[in-house]
Amino acid sequence: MICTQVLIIGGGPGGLAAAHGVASVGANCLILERDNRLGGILNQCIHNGFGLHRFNEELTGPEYAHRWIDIISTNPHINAKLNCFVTEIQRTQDGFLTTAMSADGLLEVESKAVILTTGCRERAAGSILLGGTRPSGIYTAGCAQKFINIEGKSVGKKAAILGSGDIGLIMARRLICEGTEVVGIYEIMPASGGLARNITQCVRDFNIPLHLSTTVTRVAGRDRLEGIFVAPVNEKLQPVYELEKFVPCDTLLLSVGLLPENEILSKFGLEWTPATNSFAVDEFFMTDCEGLFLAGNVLHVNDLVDNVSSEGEFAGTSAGRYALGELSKGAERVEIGHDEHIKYTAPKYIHLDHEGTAQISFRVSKNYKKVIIKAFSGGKEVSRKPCPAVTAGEMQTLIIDKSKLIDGLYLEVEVL
Amino acid sequence: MEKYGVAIIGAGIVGASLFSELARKGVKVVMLEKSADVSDGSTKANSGIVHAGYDPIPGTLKAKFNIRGSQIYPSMCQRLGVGICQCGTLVVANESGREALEQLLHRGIENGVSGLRIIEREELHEMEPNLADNIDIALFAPTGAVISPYLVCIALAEEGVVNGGVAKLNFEVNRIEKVNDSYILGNGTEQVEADFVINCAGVNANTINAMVGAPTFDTHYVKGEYLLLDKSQNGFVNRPIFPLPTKAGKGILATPTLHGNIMLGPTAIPCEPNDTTVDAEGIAIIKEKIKLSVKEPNYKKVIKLFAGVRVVSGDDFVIDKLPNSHFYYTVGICSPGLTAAPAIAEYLCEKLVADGMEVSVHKFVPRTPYVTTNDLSKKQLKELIKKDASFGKIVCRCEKITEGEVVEALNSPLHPTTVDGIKRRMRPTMGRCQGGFCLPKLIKIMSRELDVPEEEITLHGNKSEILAKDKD
Amino acid sequence: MSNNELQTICIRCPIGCHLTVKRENGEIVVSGNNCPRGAEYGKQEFTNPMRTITAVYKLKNGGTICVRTNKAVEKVKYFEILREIHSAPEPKNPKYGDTFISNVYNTGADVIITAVNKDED
Repeated sequence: MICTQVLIIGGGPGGLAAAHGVASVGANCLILERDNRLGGILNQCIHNGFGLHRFNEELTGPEYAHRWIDIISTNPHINAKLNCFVTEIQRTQDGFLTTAMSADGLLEVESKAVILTTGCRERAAGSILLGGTRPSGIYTAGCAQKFINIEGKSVGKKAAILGSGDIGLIMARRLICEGTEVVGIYEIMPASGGLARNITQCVRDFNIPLHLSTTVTRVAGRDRLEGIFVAPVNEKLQPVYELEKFVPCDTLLLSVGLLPENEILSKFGLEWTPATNSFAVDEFFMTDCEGLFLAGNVLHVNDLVDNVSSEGEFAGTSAGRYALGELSKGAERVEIGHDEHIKYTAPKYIHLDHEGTAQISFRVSKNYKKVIIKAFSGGKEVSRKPCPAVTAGEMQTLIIDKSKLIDGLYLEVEVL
Repeated sequence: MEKYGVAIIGAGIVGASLFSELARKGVKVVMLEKSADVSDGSTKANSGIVHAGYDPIPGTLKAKFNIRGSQIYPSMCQRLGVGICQCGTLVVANESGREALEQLLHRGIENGVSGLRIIEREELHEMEPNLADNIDIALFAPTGAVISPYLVCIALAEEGVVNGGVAKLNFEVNRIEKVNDSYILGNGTEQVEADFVINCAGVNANTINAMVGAPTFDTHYVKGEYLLLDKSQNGFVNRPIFPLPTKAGKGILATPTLHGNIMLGPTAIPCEPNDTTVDAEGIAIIKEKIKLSVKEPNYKKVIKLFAGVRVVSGDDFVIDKLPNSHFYYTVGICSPGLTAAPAIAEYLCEKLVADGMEVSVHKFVPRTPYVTTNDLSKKQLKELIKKDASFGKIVCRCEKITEGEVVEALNSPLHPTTVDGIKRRMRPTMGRCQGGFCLPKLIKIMSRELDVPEEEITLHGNKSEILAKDKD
Repeated sequence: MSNNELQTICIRCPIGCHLTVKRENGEIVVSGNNCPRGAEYGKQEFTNPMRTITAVYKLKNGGTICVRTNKAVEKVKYFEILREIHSAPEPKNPKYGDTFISNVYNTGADVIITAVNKDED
């Protein structure tokens, strides 16, 4: 049995920052990582563009992870165990008992608090009801990324990509650089969800055809993928089958969305928020279950790793304070309200304890030029942030000084 | 050339049942399968239900073998060490279907099904809270059960092997020759000789019959498409929920799988023999028809689409022999073929004995069930990991499958070599991420254990390699 | 893409101005930008776009070394630089942060190792 004040499950960017947060308030923590090293998915994201906010530098994924590992590795408050897969989290009288499997046996960890930073998984072919045959050659983009970048393998000769989010665009470039032909990127929406930078540097730089309002309807091939059927979609995003055509290829990469990997908490009966595919938390990143925290992509899918780190750090600080008995309790908790321009906020709740600050992340419901994001409490403006442009894909954040809160908190987007 | 008493063509549920039956009787038996693994045709893609037997017309082979098969299954699963969930089945209807349900009840009684009863609305909705609101009554068949069809088939084939039978995979019979009193079966490169040949080739039964001049049958092929939902939907239904059967079949059902997923389907669409595609129309039909029985399933939780083809020949199974020969054939083993298979095997075995098949005294060797870490207590798991650390290394996160289990599957009696083969035995890549996380790890382990390059590992045999070879 | 006009989206800030860059009377003209940084970006993209190149070097016994250029290099040299990376000799004991290739393809940029992925477990 291992005892620690805070247990962090998952040693990716969220978990690393959470550990730093825990240690920064003087508490100790243990990271349990299922892989054989820390860094999580960052290790396979070999492209650059990470860490502009945090380190003021454009790093690759592994470098960004490396920086964080350097930060925590010398901290005596932080321990980490690799190759440990958590199978169960149980509530005990004064904390949690967590069980993990490892080659050394079953590991049991007693802790005051638990932070889940397990990230997310990719949607697979089934979840988008992709029909046709079931040949080899169909990968989620991240799976192909691991094969190519970490294992040094080649996934195919001629590839198509479904979904033009950043992962799909980045993998298109990776395939080209490894000598795989990319016949096209197919995007069901009328615009790519990827960053402008990736459209330029991954798609246009290599003249890859990007087919908008088009989707893959089914796949063909008995053994190996032989091709895909693609069709334009109507305004209801339904394929126009009369215009379906066959595109020969031996590889299909799916970049069709991420889902927080939080099933291990399903038995806790926590409040579910459909907008994030995860559980509701308060401004301490604590769930309905006292002492149980969520941060990073397991809470909601972020666009930038810097956001994950800052959320993780915040959750770590709170969990550390909670474990030390310093987190104020008993203050009224209210739901954060918002107007129709905002899809959701994470956290969903905030306490009227009038102490410190809270970081509210949210996404707007569509792209806007020139807006002012405002926060109100008791009819008074408590925070504002003018933005020259906001997009539905990118995460917005607002820092709230909790001493200014009167009753609730309400967020508004004023479109200019 | 190796000489056998019996050669079975096809390692689906019928072939594997017979294989096990004969091997356990001490018969020198070989099973020839064209695919890289057993259970690769209709057997792997069906509803996985042991039917109680109220559906077939009394007096048919379907009725006879269904009833007997459903009696065999519980003890057979126990013998094999595979799971069976004896949850019973429901045929649901609204008030206007009462008469049809009562007919089914009486047909079932006539067929010899025990325990059948009509359940009224209140009790019914308590048993199954997610039934459609307009469902009023149901026929409950307590002897209906849920199994994993491919796992049963694999276990039967393994049982055959550990009892002395020989299973030859990747052996596609393309020539059968009668030489004196025995048959020579060839695949172009290899031959085996046998006194008796049993055609259990499923959708390819006519092709095999034609090789020996046995009659071919007017058959048609019906595709059944399915949607498989994530385990988080476990409990959506507690047992198979059928609509009232029609001429076209048992209809689209919602059922739990043995491992706790929810499955919706099958459609019943006329098709070519090998057309296992899932179409948008099929998905639409499932979504439309399932509403008649249950509340709206959570389609966001679909993790896999698949389809199977069943071969239909007239209204009944065809189980017969070519006159004055030792060639037997099974044709049109569609639903309830999975249930009927062990009974068909029992029947064929009797016929073969009567026909002069040699049996010998044989001491039964039980199949060793797989060690699955999910089924172990913490204490057992600790001990196992102490003995073999690879049982502590998780490969598949979603289904919590360890490296030890993958290796165990690879070393199991049929020595599967494909990703699908490992998946069907131990379930890695079977969960909600469908291999997105574990495929690289799995392939690495398979490559190491099979001592072949990762680039040669296939999904399901033939040219289904997962990775591409480097150009240089 | 024609040589005398470029349509692109500025990536210097989140606004994402849609830029049009043209050569008019020998002079490069950027329109659609809202600030000088946009004009500068447009001109650079039009005349000589620069990219940080990241790549994977396959190790003979499995696994990879991940690398990047330590500064942006001319985009036109992308594939030549990739070729030089892919055909470089395998380093004996590669480590994070090592220089993999100095002055790659005469660009003045070094290729540095960002990760080493070897089978260990």
